[in-house]
Amino acid sequence: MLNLIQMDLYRMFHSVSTWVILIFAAAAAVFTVSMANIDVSAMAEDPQYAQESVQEKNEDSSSEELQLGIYAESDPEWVSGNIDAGEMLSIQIKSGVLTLLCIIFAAVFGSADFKNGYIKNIAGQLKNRGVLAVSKFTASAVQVFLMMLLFTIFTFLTGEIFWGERFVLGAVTEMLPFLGAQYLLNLGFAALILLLCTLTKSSAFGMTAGILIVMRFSIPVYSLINRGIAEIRPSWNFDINKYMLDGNMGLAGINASPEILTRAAVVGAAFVAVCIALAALAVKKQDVR
Amino acid sequence: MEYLLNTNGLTKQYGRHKAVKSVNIHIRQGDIYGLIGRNGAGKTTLLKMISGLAAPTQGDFTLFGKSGKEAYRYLSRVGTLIESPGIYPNMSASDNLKLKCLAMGVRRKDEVSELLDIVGLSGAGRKKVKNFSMGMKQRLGIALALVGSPDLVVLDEPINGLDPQGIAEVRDTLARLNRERNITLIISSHILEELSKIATHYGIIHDGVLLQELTREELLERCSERIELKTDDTRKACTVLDGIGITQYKVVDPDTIHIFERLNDSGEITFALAQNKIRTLGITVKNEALEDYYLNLTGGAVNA
Repeated sequence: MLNLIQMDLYRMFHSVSTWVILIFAAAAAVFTVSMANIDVSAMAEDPQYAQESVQEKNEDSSSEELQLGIYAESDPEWVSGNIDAGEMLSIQIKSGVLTLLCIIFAAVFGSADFKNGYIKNIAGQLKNRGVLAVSKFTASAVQVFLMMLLFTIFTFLTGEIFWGERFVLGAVTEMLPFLGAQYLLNLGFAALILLLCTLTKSSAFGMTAGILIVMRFSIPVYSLINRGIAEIRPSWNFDINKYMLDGNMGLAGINASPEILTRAAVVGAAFVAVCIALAALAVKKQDVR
Repeated sequence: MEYLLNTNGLTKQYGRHKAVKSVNIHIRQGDIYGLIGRNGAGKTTLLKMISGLAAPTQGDFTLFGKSGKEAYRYLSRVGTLIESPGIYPNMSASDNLKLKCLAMGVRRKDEVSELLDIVGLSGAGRKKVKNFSMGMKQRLGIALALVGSPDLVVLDEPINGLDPQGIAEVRDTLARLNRERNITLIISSHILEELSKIATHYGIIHDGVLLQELTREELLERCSERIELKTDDTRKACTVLDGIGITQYKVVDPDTIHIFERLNDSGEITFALAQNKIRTLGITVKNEALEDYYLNLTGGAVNA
């Protein structure tokens, strides 16, 4: 197992896609903070726009409606007050922009050995080739960590450049529970994509499915499930969003309650465990083509 | 007899189609086993099963004397090159080899450079594989199969896409590995002439069925120039042949004798038999090429 992890880490650090995606993670941080800066400037110049944003923010927090696509909304209070670095990072990560990159990486990295046939060189010589799924996930976990680290650093650097003293870093320890929960959710996504790629032998399928989930195209499906369960057990008050990766990703922000953060972490970890176990089983049982 | 590898009724079924039907092959340590068959004959499927890449639908194999699940533990001693070489095109040849070394736990520093040297790629180790010719990729595939010094190397169509010089180089490399490192080789091909230059044993597979297993000597004997004598009493005929000084002959069935010397003396042989009141049912000089032998066995043109 350790040998395979070493192999996958070596492959990861010698793959162009790894570095391209890390560059994209940094660029995404710069881009999203720049967009927030444009938004803040627009609100400063147009008080009516700021007013509308306040209303939208209040409606969003009370409404149960969910939006499709990727959104990172700026806080109207940032116009005049300090901009909290943790809050800024939380909004950007909750938007799913970083998760999209995690999904693309997991799909490309996870299916490369199937695609070019390298797996044929090693799969037969392993006592349990299911560990191939575990080693690929481990390498992906390292990459997701690096992506989050880079995204965080570049968010803070760009914020510092745009807003200077108004951009307040605050206590890093306060960010750790939120970052930890989001890391596990992103790992859950990586594991899910690895599973889909393993089952379908198609990086395109895994990538597309992952992107659609992050963009909340899963909402109609969840809705149907919620309604179905509500009809069977009306007293249950079941909401599948609470148990899915995308649902928790949007909730587990820096200001989320410990209960929400804990649930998000558990959901992320559960997805990792189940998806990797299934992927390992699939790799073990399937013939290598 | 102790075999390094033998299969016991190995069968692979995809849906209703049986790609490999109850195949029993027998390979000894140090053999170069040539698996001959047309495209789609079941060669790759058979090789995938004995490499642990595909699970048999029925049957099993014995490897290094171990059978069943225990045999799978010894697959780490089996290097493989199945179909086209599986390589990362954006990585160098050295990196591709390094990956497999890491996966197999091979820590020897010189392993990669030695393997590149063996397959004649020592000057191209740092070059990205996407810029390699087909022949270079094949050679890298062979080098990958050799990582960790396996005892058995399974090569599926290793000379595919190679030019004549490349074929000769690969053939020499494989022969050297067999001779110097005592590596047992299983090589599949549909290019019979090439296989015949290196293999010591042959298995002929057709439509998923192993038609015949034979040694190089047996094959050469069957393909060599000979007189095929058909007679009603082979025992007496042998005495007559001995009497006229013919010693290189073989009784192949109750009516047929193959004579491998004095090929121009058919008349003298028939005369001697007639003198001893033995009927000659037929006498012909045969010279069957390897390819003809294969075609006669499988009953059709090679789909190469």
